[in-house]
Amino acid sequence: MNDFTNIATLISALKNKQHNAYEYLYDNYSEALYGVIHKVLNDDEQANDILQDTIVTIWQKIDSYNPEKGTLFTWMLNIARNKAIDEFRKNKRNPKISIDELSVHTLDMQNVNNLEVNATDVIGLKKIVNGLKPDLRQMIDMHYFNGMTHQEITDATQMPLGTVKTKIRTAMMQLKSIFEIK
Amino acid sequence: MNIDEYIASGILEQYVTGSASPQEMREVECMSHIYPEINAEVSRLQLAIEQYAKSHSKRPPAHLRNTILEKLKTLEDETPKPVVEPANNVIEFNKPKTNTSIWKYSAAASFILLAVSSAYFINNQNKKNKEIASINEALEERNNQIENLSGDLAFYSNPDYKKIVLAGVEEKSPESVVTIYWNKNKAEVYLAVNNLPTAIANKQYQLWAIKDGVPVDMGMLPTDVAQNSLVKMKQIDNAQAFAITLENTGGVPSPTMSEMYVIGAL
Repeated sequence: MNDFTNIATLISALKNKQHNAYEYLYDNYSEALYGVIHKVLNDDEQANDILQDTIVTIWQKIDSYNPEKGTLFTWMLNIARNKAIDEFRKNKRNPKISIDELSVHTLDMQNVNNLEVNATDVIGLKKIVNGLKPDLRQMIDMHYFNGMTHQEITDATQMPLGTVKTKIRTAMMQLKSIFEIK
Repeated sequence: MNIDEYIASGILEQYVTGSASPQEMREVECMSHIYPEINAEVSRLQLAIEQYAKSHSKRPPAHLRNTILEKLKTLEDETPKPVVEPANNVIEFNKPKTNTSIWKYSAAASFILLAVSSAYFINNQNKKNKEIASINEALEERNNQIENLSGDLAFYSNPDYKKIVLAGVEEKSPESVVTIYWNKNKAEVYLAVNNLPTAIANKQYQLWAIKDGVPVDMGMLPTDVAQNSLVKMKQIDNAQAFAITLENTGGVPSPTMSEMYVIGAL
């Protein structure tokens, strides 16, 4: 029996297309991947399709994953996020996104308390909502979940480019401290 | 190099959120390869964004698990498993564009030209002696060229020389390309400028090797360096990366970060 909690074992089993490795991957990562996809698209049907597409791509491209460039999780998140953003842009048929079209809606404390049980990491989310100011959260969400460049955020929010850059950087710094990353 | 400045520039955040351009991605990968501090910061930021993404987790509908895993099974049946893993440790060495047969033909053509010319001019020896001499000279020159090219060919195809392509830094000079040929055993470093803007007055390009996180001066590029010609630089037997900055004529003891034009890691 393979110990997939060992990441190197998991990666090599994924590369060998071992079916139980993909079962493990699904059971341990699908909620996080689905969360990102759903956050971008805000649509169940589309999110289901993109999750399948993401896992198939992981299966096909796993040989190109290079641990030196980042963790497996980051690699998979990027696949999921990019696919979801592509889908979002395709549906909008307009590469320029205005701020009210964004699927990103900023959560407040009430939302978090009313969250369904299926948000598996409510504690993490509460931490963020408590720790990160809404404007910073909106910045990081536009940037990360909507894949907007600094310039696109500037255009959408009418904030100066320098302010946008600073806010994103501040948000990232605060995330590091919220998650106690040293 | 000012690492703190680089970390604070916001490029690492763009890298981890996936919004950096492919060129910037390569640059960050290069820099984090060289500088442990940058590497550590990239890891921390990746971890932060992972946690952030994870905190938005949502359980997909239960039926999806089966659908997706079954889909993978059908893919598995369609794809034959590769018997031999492709070796990925082979360093690609671009085949030199020079084609020896062209030079053979050129040489042959020159000989024929000489022979024909000689026959034609045999009756006008005195008058034509000068011309024969000049043709001989041209032939000599051509032969020298062939000899030089054979030397280059031997150089480029020598497996002891590792080829490192230094790519243009996005914000400075994305089009720039410089190739380093490095013989680690002999510590010899040659450089070929493929594309680099002409240095402005009183400025000169300086090559750096990055050895254990410390930039080492590898010498100055001549201001009149011809495109694609080889320039011998200072010796080094160990380095993780090479980079070129534009500095005051004569060079500086440590590189100016903001003036980096190209960089490439091993």
